[in-house]
This record gives sequence, structure tokens and C-alpha cells, in this order.
Amino acid sequence: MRLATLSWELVTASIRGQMQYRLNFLIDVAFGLVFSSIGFVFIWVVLGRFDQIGGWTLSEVALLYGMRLTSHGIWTVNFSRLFAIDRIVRDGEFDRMLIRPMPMMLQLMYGSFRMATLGDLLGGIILLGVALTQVSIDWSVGKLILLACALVGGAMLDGAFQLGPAAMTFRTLQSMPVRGLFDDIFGRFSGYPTSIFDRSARFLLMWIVPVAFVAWVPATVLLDRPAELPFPSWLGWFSPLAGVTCIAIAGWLFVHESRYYQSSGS
Amino acid sequence: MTIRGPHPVWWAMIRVSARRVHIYRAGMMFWMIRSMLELFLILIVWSAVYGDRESVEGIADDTLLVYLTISAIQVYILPNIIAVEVGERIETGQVATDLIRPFSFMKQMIAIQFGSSIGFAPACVLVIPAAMLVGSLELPSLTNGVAYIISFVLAYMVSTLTWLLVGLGGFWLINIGGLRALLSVASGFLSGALIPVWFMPDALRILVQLLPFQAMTFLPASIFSGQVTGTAMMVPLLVQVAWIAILIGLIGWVWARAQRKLVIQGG
Repeated sequence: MRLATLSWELVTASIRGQMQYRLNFLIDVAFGLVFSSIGFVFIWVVLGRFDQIGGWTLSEVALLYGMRLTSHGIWTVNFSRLFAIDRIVRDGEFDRMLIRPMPMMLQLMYGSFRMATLGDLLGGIILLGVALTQVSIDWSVGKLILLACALVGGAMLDGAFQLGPAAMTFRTLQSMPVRGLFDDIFGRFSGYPTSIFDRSARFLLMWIVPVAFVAWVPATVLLDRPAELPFPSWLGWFSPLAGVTCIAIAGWLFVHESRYYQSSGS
Repeated sequence: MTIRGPHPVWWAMIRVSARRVHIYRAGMMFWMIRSMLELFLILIVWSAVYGDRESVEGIADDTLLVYLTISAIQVYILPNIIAVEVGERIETGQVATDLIRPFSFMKQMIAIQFGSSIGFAPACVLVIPAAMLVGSLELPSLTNGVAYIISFVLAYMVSTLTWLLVGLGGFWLINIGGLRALLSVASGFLSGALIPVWFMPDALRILVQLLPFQAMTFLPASIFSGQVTGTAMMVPLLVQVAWIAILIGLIGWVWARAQRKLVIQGG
């Protein structure tokens, strides 16, 4: 409870700080919205003209994109400080995170707040909400639970491929390019039906960088399209576990590697 | 005494700027991988959309693939560092020193951009084979090739001037990071690199044609891909020239106001 209040204080203080540059603050939020929705505008314009892609209609792809964007938003809102991990480690700011009476991981999560991340979450929820009214889903309690779990699981999966690479910062002092690459892969590929890709790309997106599990696998279950999955469809119900597994490994790796942290001494 | 001919400062600034690019060599590699990933995705989406059709609304699938590939290369190599340079100088107050120098601020910034492009050239040579591997590139006919080279030079100028103008926005915004990021994300769209202007719905097409970004990518790429040929190629070239004139006018107007607006934040 005390930790929750503390986290809240840190986040609001950070927001107040950013409010000092009023116009820039608004542009930051707008940027978050545009940045996160631009990928969908592309889909929208293309499918507005060509009806479907690989058997998926615009509203079905919107569901995928809404799920992935909401997941991404859940992750970035809670971990927005990770974005600056390179600087935090290089400048020795990590010292403070180690000596303050608050768990290191919690400070990493809420030590500061980037407004642009709110744009991700907002855009995702709006898009998901609109998409849900457009697609025909044969709802059941199980499917509602799956959707909720898939959003959190997607956030964990997306985040695992940020937190994991961030662990290398403690030795190499730089992880931004690698994190950016994974951010790109998730951002670009998770909003599309994985079935449109050719065999090798599909294999990569399912088993090497498991982007497919963010939205496509749970969505095929929600939409009753089991034929597209390369495994028995009942396994699709457990897709959120991919995120749980990956974030556990990434979290362990990050904490483990933080032992190699060397302060800059300044 | 007035100094005539290229000022020696030009060369010095270009050299320094060209060398500085290599500090970020690893970052450039990753940036290239990411650009190729984007190209890969766009090509897959368009191929899936085309399906078995060989041509949609008069655009052949081969032409579209060449268009998308050359667009991706252009987005990668056209200049925009000038906006970061101008923005940072205004934000940190370094612009005060720049203004005292006996060499116009605009020229200094253009020299920095030019140097950065030269330093960046080796990466451009790498990106072309990479793009050919991911996408498809067919050389245009001789006349289209010549017209493309002219169009590319004009695109380079449009890009430099547009981002210079964005950088000058710093005199009002102080920190242009947000605006620059917003525009560079939107420019992928507004330039026609993701969706050729041919396929855009009317509202979007009008917006795109009112902004300079299509003059950086869409116009040259439509020449390279052979969708526009013969005397019809004069249209895109003239549009580019018009944009250069408009941008120079705008920059002059903004600059006259900016100098009165300058705030040096200590330092």
C-alpha cells in the first residue's frame, strides 16, 4: 500500500514536471496517439480500398490491432522509465535506484512517466472498443476471460522483449538499438494475421520472436477460426501463458545482470 | 571586404559533420535493419492485397513493388538531421555563438546537413543491395533514369528545406523533439512511401498534395518505377521546383521573425 502511494506520487510529480512546457506536453501526447495509430491508418486506408487481406476483413484486423495496441499501452504505461535505461545506467542514476527504500524494479516502473505512453493505451482502448462492436464474436464467459488475459499476456510478451535486452545494458552500457529493433518487430508485425506471411516468416513470428501470440493466436480463438492455427485450437486458449513465461525469464535475466552494474562514480 | 566563392568554412563544416556520422555506426546498422523490416512488411501486405491480380487500377504489381522499394530507399537516405541540429542549437542557446560567426546561420546548417549526407553515403551503398534482396528493383529506361536523377536532386533539396523549416520552429517551441518525431512518423505516410498516392482516398490525397513530403518520395519514385513517362514527367519535376521556391520563401519569412523571437536560456 505504501509502495503504491509512493509510485503514484512519483508518477504525478513527473507529469507535473512535464506540464511546465505546456505546448510541448500536448505535442507529446499527440505524438503518442499518432505514433501508435499510424500503423492502423495504413491498414484502414489499404483495406478501405481492397476489402480483405488473407481472408481477414477490416474490422477483424482492427480487432488484432486494437488488442496489440492496448497490450503495448499496458506495458509502456507501467514501464515507461525503461525507455531511458541506457542513460540511467551510464550516468550512474541507477545508484539512486539501488539505495532508495523502494524495490529497484518498482522504481524502474514508476520512477518517471512519459506522457506519450498514454497515447498508446488510449489509442488501443478506443480502437479495440470500436472493433469489438464491428466483429461478430460468439461470446462466452471463457472468451471474455481469454480477451482480458490476452491483453495482459500480450503486454508481458511485448515487455519481455524490452526488459530482456535491457539487461545487457549493465555490461555493454547500450541496449537501445536492440530494444528498438524488437519494439519495431512487435509494433509492425503483431497487428497482422500471421497467416499472410510465407512459411519461414511465419515460423519466425511464432517460435523465435513470438509476436503471433500477442494478438493473432488469441484472436483466432475469439473469432472461431481455428483452421489457421498450426496447432490444435484448444492450445490457443492458453496463449497468454506465452507472455507469462517470457516476462518471468526476462525479469530474472534483468535482476541477474544488474549484479554487473558498475557505477560511473559521478 | 566581401568574400567571394565558396567560403573555406563550408568545407571545414562539411568535413567535421561527415566525420561525426561515424560515431553512430552501430546505430545506423540497426536503423537499416529496421527500415528493411518495414519494407518487408509493406511488400507482404501489398502482395496479400493484390493476391492473384496482376494489375489493380492500372498499377501493375511489378511496378508497385519497384515503387515501394525505391521509396523505402529514399526515405532512408534523404536528409532530416538538419532539423535536429537547428532544434538543439536553439534549445541549448548555442545558436547565439552560431549567429556571431561571420557566416550565415542557414549556410552553416546546410553545410552540416551536406556533410552528414556525405558521411552517410557508405550506408546508402549498403542499403541498395539490402533493399534489392528484400524487395525488387528494376532499372528504369534511360529517359526515366535521367529524369529520376534530376528528381532525386530536387527531392534532396525539398527535404533539406522542409526539415530546416521544422527546425526553425524551435524559436517558438523551444523544444522541437515532439514536433520533429510527429512529422517524421507522419512523413512515412504523407510522402507516399507506405501507400502510393494513386491508391489514397480523396481526402488523404488532397492533404498529401498540400504538403511537401510527397515531393521527397512519391514524385521521384513514380518516375523511377516507370508509372510516369515521357513529357508527363515534367509535371512532378515542376511540382518539386515549385515546392523549393515556396519553402525558400517560407524560410525567409520565418527567419525574419525568428531573430526577433530568440530567447537565450542562460549558458
